[in-house]
Amino acid sequence: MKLSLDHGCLRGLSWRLEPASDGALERLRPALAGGWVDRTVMASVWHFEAREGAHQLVIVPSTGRLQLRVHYTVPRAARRSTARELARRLAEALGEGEVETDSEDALLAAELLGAQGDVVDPELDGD
Amino acid sequence: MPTNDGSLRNYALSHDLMSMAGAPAVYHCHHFNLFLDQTIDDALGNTDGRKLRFAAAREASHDFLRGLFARLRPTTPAEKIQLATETIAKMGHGRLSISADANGGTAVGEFLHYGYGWAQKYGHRVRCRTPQDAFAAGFAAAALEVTFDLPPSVEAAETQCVAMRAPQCQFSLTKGAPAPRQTSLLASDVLRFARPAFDGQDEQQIATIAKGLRDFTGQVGGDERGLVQAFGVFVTMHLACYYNRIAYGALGELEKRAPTSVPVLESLLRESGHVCVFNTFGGILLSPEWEGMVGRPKTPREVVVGALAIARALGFGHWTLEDFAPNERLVVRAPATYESVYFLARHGKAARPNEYFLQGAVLAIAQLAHRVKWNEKVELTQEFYDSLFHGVVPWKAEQSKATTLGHEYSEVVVTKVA
Repeated sequence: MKLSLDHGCLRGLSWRLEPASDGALERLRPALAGGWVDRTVMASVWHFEAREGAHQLVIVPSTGRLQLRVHYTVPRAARRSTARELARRLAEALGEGEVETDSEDALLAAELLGAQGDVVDPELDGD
Repeated sequence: MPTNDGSLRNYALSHDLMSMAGAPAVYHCHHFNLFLDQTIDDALGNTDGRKLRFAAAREASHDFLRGLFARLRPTTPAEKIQLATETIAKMGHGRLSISADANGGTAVGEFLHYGYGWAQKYGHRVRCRTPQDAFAAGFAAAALEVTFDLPPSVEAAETQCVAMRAPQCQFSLTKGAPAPRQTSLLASDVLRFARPAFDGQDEQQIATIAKGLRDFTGQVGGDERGLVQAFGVFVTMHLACYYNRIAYGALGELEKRAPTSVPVLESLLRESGHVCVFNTFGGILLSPEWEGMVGRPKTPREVVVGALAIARALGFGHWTLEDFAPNERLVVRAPATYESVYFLARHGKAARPNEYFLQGAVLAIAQLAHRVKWNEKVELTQEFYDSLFHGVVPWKAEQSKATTLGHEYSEVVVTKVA
């Protein structure tokens, strides 16, 4: 399972999941039964919500796109680790191995960690 | 967006203008909302800007709440306050708890859209020095006034705000001197100023996509915190009269105070269209929901068609495609926009083309159609926004027709500049 940042203007909340094995989508629905609630309203887009943490998993069956949405209340610094943990559980449920992330995401992780500090530059104070 | 009885949201379908409990309404994201509020404060100064935003919120909420109570008929003051705060939470504005009687009281806000949105967008980099929730303050004041049948007289001061790193937002509500009561502006009032609807190119496709999006947004409402997170942004169903009152109100004030600064404000109001199209339209076009419903756009024309459908579904008006030549020209027409019908109803005929949001949005659609590589990984970051809109923009937008000038339709022509 590969995990990488997806687009989105709220940093670190949307992640793209790419299962390593073929046929993962068919196995996904039963694999989600335990920890996720099916919130699908359109047949063309499947929507699941995690029982714990209200994170979301959105699946486009026609293209195979999987998007993991970390809940917005998760602090910036913890978003990547939360996404990784959710991806790890999904990979395990699908019988896949380690979760891979790309180097670009490591850069974001550094940025998110840096952003978490509570020190505010008075020169940057905004109105 | 589901509400208590499921029938509060309504579209005037021929014109794609939306209302909520009879009040004109549109969807906008936190990027747009914060940008527009900041623009008003930049134009008038923090104190007068906040006063205008509060007054606009109170007026617009007054009309909205009267319509809401007339439809759902709560009886006791407690029921009315509860209905007001539950409904605004379902519209994505966050949780507001009001403890007050006819003489005033307090309100507490949690996850209020503006304050929380500000903290999410800027809070990690800068500390905010002024409260951000003038809309919630105006709404709370109007809730008291409508509940207790008071004239516009309740003042609400935000004494703590999460944007200033307080744990929650707090408001004090006090009775002040009665303010002049503005004439109500309901959807039925503004729709009288819509010109006859017409269709443009690719009409069937645009209409079909818009319907799908309307159906989708009808299923989406505020979560338990009263926020709507969709398409990578926080979305509100908002009162269109609030936006129009602050935009045209600030322009009117600036024309009196500093007329040479008016073009700067007009330019910023156009930029609010860029902000909206980049963040919300871009977020929708890149979303899995769009990929499943429509398919990822592959050509500039597909982006334009999709964007016009999005505009309609968000309640901006019946935006139609009059002409499109890739890399050369884009012409969008509308028989009414949420700006034009308000302006005509409130102010009458304009002195110049003045649908600033429309002007900026159509230019931004041209930019998105040509400058975003939709088949690659796209991140809607501030840096990307700056590269698209703050550098050399290869397009010029001109509003050539305006219903506010008496024309049969409004038209924005975007052409490539050398």
